[in-house]
Amino acid sequence: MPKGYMGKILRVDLTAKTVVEENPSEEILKKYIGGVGLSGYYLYKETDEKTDPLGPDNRLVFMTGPFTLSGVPSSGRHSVAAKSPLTGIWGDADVGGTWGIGLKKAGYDGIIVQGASPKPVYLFISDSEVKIEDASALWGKDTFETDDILKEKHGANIVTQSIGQAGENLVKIASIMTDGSSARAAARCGLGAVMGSKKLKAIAVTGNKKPEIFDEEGLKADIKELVTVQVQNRGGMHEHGTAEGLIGNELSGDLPIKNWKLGAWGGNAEKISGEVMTEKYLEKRYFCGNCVVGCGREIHIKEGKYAGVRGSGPEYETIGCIGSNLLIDDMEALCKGNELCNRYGLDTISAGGVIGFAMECYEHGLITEKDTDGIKLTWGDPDALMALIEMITFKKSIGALLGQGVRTAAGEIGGIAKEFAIETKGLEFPAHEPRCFNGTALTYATSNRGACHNSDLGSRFFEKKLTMPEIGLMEPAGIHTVEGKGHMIAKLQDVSGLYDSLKICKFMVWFNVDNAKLLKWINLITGWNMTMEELLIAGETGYTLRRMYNVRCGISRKDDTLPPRILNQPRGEGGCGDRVPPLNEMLVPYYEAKGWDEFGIPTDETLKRLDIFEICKR
Amino acid sequence: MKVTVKLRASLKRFSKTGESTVVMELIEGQKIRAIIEELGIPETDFGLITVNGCLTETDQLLKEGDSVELFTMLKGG
Repeated sequence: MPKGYMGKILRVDLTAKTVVEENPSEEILKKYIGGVGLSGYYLYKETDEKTDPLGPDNRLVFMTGPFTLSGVPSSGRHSVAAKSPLTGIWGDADVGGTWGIGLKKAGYDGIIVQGASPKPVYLFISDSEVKIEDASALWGKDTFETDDILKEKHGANIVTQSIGQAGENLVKIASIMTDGSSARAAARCGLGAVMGSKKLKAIAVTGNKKPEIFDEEGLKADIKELVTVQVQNRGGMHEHGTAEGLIGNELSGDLPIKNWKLGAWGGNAEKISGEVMTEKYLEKRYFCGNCVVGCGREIHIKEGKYAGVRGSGPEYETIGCIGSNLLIDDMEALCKGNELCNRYGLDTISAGGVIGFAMECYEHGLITEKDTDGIKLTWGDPDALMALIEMITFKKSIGALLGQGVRTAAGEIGGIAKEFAIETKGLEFPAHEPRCFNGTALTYATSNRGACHNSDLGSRFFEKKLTMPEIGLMEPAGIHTVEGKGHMIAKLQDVSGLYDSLKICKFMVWFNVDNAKLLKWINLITGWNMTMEELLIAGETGYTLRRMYNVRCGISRKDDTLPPRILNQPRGEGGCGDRVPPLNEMLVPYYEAKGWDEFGIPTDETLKRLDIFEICKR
Repeated sequence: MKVTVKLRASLKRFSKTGESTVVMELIEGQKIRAIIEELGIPETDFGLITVNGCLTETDQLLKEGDSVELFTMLKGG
């Protein structure tokens, strides 16, 4: 077993009520690294196009990486993956907090959950025992309450991950939440519903184990030097969080406004920016494991209509999706909406997407008050937001349909509703505008889990400010350039997958972490003597295998697209108001850079080069 | 010539007076880049720039009375 890993993965069968330990080989670890890469390997082998995402045969995989519990900065993350019930294809979500560190302290690199329990259960995993426990008393509780109850029973040192009522009710935009009211979210792709389908309410972890590090002193010295610089440079992300730039996001045209229809909002972003949160509601900053940046918010609203809201504050994505996207400019309402989603375990991005869709359908008479228990779905109305979050979570009235995502809802409603469904491959858009950044357009169109802002390492940063010589990006590419963009996104996706496999926060690209650092650290941790080329190939291998997962599910070029509103309709005002993305011009060079054919299928030659031909052609 | 510079959000930390709005004395023919260099703002810290409310870039020439706003780099979640 290489150093840096615990060398053990737990396989939990909830049908058979068995728990066994497996030991992945060094060859597999070196090839897929960990996190999303290793999850892809297991999911590819054990599920396929026939697997019912909400059936017992689906796997729910929780995975750490070699950076977890190594002391590497901002490595308190883990991956969750399963076949997605929302999209029917590859699904994964990456989450911060401290749960991944807790799992490794308990002695495990990952957990593969299969089967389904007839009754609600939770897993208790410590460094001395693994138990499948009765969760009848937890069923129906929200994620904050679940964390409180489990800590009361097992002690304050445990870290929990749980689903809320949305996951229990198999809502297809349900999230999995960690760290109680600090509320870090494995939000995307409806993985909370997969957990709910297995009647698995929570996983509590605790322990004192630690992986052996190949050169602990060397690693510590390197990290110490870097962390000093990071503290000096943490600036706005520390001060105001991920929503600091919100005013600029509106100005530049990056912010979603009125279900992606408008390009400007009259400066209303001023009212819901990170600065407002800092000034009025911030109690303290939240740091994920081993992080010194602290972009998380802990807020408290002490008076007014939403008095009592306390815990994690809304992130940029949340403010964009349930705020500007719905024309809601009331910061306190957004804090409340965020808390409800966190407690119920709903993805705030997809929730904002389906509610924006519903408001536009209501505006056009496709949804009426008969469908909403009399609630008016008026743009900008916080009461409509709160009511729909409840309806979606508890599958009431129109909420039952909306909880299946905009693609399914638009298909059911029919007519021009499809014009309002802003998704790719069935996943609702996050809060960055593809009409503003060409790289974002190509990424949303091609990413394995659907419209995803997190699978290209933030290409808009590499368009404006950053470089990456190892992939040939010697200077920032420019936001509207076409030439070279296919190659850039193809390679950034591979490197992004590497971050998610090693387990390190992608914001680190702003804080003096580059590929050379990643390489140095993995060698110091594991004792491997990897080259830069080998490291980059590991990222590419994982990404390509996940693409092959989707290919097996029927995905090809026809699916690598954007909704008509984004592709064909300029917004007419605001930053980039006259633009639509030149997707097709970028797509062919992208496929070429990936080694995929004209239909977006990885060629046999590519699969052989990455040594995944056998697993893909079995 | 005098121009007004507004430092948005955390860029306020680069203000020499501690205030987010500062008036700066520039020489005729200087560009926005001169303000950024004078204040010592690293390249990766600022994002958007507006002059008199319009988006622009660092190479824009400034004139007497211009109102410049500097925004942090868009990061998002």
